[in-house]
Formats: sequence, structure tokens, C-alpha cells
Amino acid sequence: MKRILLDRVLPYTLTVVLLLSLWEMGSRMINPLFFPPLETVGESFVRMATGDLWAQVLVSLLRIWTGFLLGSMLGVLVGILMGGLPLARGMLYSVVEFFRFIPPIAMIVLAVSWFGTGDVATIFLIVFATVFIVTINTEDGVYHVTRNRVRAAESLGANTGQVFRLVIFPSTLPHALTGMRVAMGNAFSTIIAAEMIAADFGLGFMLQQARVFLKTGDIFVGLVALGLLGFATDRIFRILIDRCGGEYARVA
Amino acid sequence: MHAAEFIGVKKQFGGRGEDPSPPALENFEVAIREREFFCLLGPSGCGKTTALTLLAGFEMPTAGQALHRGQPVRGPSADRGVVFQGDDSLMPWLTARDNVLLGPRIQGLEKAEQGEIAERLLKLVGLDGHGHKYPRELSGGMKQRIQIARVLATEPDMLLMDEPFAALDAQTRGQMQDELTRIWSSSRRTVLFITHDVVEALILGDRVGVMHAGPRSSIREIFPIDLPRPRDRTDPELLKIYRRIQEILAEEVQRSREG
Repeated sequence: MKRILLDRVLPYTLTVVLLLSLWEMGSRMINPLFFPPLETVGESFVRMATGDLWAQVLVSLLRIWTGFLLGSMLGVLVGILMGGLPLARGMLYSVVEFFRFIPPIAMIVLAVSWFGTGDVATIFLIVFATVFIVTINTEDGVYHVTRNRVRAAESLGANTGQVFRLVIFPSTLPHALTGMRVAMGNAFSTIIAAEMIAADFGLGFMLQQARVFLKTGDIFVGLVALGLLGFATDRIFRILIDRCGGEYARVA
Repeated sequence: MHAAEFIGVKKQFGGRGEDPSPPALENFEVAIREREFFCLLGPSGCGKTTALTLLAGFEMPTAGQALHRGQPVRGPSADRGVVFQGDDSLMPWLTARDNVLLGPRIQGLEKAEQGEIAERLLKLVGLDGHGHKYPRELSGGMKQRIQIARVLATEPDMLLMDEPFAALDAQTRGQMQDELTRIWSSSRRTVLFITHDVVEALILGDRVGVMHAGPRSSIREIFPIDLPRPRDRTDPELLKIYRRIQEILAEEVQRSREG
């Protein structure tokens, strides 16, 4: 218990205290309209927390997770197909390599004209931000399946479906999960830009509104919320990887 | 009927259009008897492992036939269990116990039966108490024990062992050879055992087939080893055959150098 306090809690506390002091000093030297003191941010937070802050956060999170899960499932499926079937690889390789260099943000305009503003457009963009990186990592994972693992399963009587389920899928999973973790980062950076333009609710929309009405305190509340959410999501994700992947997929 | 038979087998790797390498095996013929421990011995690169992959059904012969109980081998099957040389055939995400149970699960055995098999086999290979460990937590010798238990779990008609102890240190290797003798004596399945270690072949085999150096390799001579088990590595009878085989191998290596 004492060790945990010294090793974990103390450094965190020091960092937070230091950052808050720097902030307070900064706000005294810079025009508080652009860099509001902690007190103003605190007031913004209280006002927003009793208002619709949580609803905005929830909407953004739901969009991220929906798009992320859809994109991941699609990516794993396509990645395994590409890794396993030369024909699929031949057909899809250049497509994936082409689209993965188009930043999701560049697709916002198209998403709005296709789906209008709202959930569909933003979720589409998260899928776009997720699918290619997961595909590439999964495909790479398929190449890491050792030949002898497949042969061992076959000479224990496994049919094609069982080889896939018992050998190829679990061999590929850690690679797919690595891709998904990166994709989660992409999803966070995409959702804000997407909601600024293609939505009228959510964290990104909230930030945009705060800028328009020059409520700098609100902007900071939004940013801090975003950082905390990303951090928490990554933690949850790591725990999930540890649970699902067991020993093999342990996160480095 | 023989447990397994190779008839006029030729195996050439490399497909159409590629520069054809000389065949690894040519006129490869050998018949393995029911419940026999047959060791296939030869200098490295002579195609021993190729012969095993044909009988396992991982590869098809270019010409001739590999037969199992008189039937041509068409692909891998639980009738012919394989123990691989390295540890890259174990599933690293499964515990030792779950690796052993891979075959029974593929065959859809009941949970209770699975538990019984796992306990019995882990005990047989001397791994009781290690069932919950993952492969990376086990030594090389222990990992090969898991492979042996895994292959026995499906009760195959025949065991195909591809230099299973080659990567182990000398002391562990000797220990594993003695263990394998014990395990084999209790079940007496047909075994095709590939090795390049003469002593290993003599300690384990009922017969030892010595191969020509590759390419175009085939069986040069078969030595019956009529000595009781467990065998003594310093038995004068055994050493006599050992010297004879060493001479042959030296000749073969010499011949392949002169090419």
C-alpha cells in the first residue's frame, strides 16, 4: 500500500499540482479572454455539468464505439480474407492502400453530402478512420501464423473451419488488437472534427459552439473532458485485451 | 498388410516454370510394420523429413505412393499424429493442458472424458502439476512432452516424429529418449521416427533405415536392432552396429561432396 502511494499516487499528484499552478500563473500573464483562470474554467464546468455536458459526452462516445466496433469487425474480416486468399488480396490490396492515405477528415464533406449531419455521417467517418488500419494489421497477423500450427491442427483431425477458429483466428487476434488500439486513437481525433461540421450535438459540436460564443472556459472543459475520455478508453481497452487475449496478447 | 509403405516414391519441390531442383527423394521404398518403432536415419538434407511430410499428408508425392494401412495418403488425418521438431506447433495462447486437449476438442469429446485424458496424459509424460502453465513458461524438453501428450490424446494409429529431440541439450535428450521408450513400451503404437543422431536411432528403434545422402535419396540399408529395452548406450552389440552405420554415413557424406 505504501509502495503504491509512493510509486503511483505521488508522481500523479505532483504532475497535476504543477500543471494547475502553471495554468494559474499563465492566466495572470495572458489575456484571460483567451486563457481563462482556473476559477472561470471551474465555473464553466459547474454550469455545463448541471447542463448537457454528460449528454454531449455520451453521444460522442456512442458514435466512437459504434463506428469503432463496426470498422474493427469489417477490418478483421477483410484482413483475414486478404491474408488467406490470394485472389482477395489481389483485388483489395490496392484499394486498401489507396484509401488508407485519405485522412478521414477529408471525407467529412462527402459524408455530409451523402448522409446529412448527425449520427450516420459521424459513425461513417469513424468506420473510415478504423477499418483500414485494422485490415492491414490483421492481414499481417495472418502471415504470422506458423505453418506447423496449422499442420498440427490438421493432423489432429481439424477441418478447414476448425483450423480457422482454433489456429488462424487466435494467432491473428493480437495483431488485430494492436491495429484496433491505434484505430481508437484515430477515432478520437476524427470524432471532434466530424462533429464540428457534420453534427449538431456531441463534444466536437460543443467545442465549436464555445468558440463561436467566445466561451474560452467551455473550450477548456471540453478539451480536458476529451483527454480524460481518451485516457480512460485506452485503459479499458488494455484491460479488455488482457482479458480476451490472455497470456499471448499481453499489452507491452 | 504394412502399417505404412512407400512405393517408388519421388518427390520434387518447386512448381511449373521454376528452375526445377533435383528431386529430394527418388525410388524411395520402405515398408513399416505394424507396432514397429522405425527410425529413419540419414545425413542432413537427405530428405528424411520429406518422407515424413508425405506420410503425414502435408505434401503429395510427385510420383509413386505413400500408403497408410494399404490406402494412399490423401491428406492429414488424426490417424497419423505428428510430433514436430521445434515448439512452433504449440498454441502459445493455450495452457499445457489445453494444448494437450486440442485433439479431443476437435473431435468433440465430452468434458468429463477430456478431463480424464488430460490428467492421464500429463501424468504419463511427467507434466502433472504443470497443466496450467503456458508454453513460454516451460523448458524445451517440457514443450516436447506436451507435443507427445497432445498427439497421444487422439489415440492415433501411428506416430510420426520429426527429430523431436534435436533442439534439446544432450542431457535432456538422453532423458527424453528413455522416457519415450517407456511411453512407447506401454502403448506399442507404430512409430516413424526421423533423426540424424545414430545413438538415438539405436536406443529407440526396432529397425533403423539408413538413407543415402541427398538429393535423389532413398534407403541404403536397414538394420534390425534386436536388443531388449531399455537399452544401454554402451552395449557392445549396439556399439558394433553404431560403428557400421557411422562408416556408411561417412561414405555417404564423402560421396555427396564429390557430387
